[in-house]
Amino acid sequence: MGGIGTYRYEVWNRAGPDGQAEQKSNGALPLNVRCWERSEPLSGTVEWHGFTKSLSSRHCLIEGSVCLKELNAAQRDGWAPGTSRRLPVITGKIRITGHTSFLTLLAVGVLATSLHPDHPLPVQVWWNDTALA
Amino acid sequence: MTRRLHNVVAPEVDRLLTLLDGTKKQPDGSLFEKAALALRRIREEALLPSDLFICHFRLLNALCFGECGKYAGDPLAKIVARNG
Repeated sequence: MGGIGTYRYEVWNRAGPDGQAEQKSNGALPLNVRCWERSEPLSGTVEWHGFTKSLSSRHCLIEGSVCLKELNAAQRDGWAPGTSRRLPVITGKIRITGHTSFLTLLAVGVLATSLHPDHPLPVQVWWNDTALA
Repeated sequence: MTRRLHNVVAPEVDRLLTLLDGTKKQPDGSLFEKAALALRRIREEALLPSDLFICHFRLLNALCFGECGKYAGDPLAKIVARNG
């Protein structure tokens, strides 16, 4: 199972068979689901191994993970209806910063070196993947 | 020019990439940039054991921050074992 299939399974599994997510949000997906969405780009690859062209998906995953931590720390209702795809900074104590991006890249570089020590790092691909917004 | 990774303005990303591709030769003294240079040196240079140890330590030190350590911990251990 991969891609959307994995994502739907995860949402169903966490939300329960009653479609809790859809019911509680009346169609507007709650923040919990928005966070889990961030792992979707990874579902088509083996954990961290499709690193050369999917740096941004790693960042997505970390972004969702940090937001979930904030949500839990603030004891907010992650099932409350949401309207935005952009994840909020909840407590201000944990933030996605440039340093987070830096560490994501560094970790991907370490993984690449571990897997393919004799291949050059795909730095140009990463440049492209961090294209100007 | 400042690049973005999703919603994050990240000049740090520019600095890391320039360290990794060799455009930038010297880190700014920060923990993170020293780690990036360490990764490049491990990949490209024949290092003395003492320098190799320092490079491994710098990577370990940086990756202990944030979420990335759990993803990069085992790969770093493999690199250390291979170099050792």
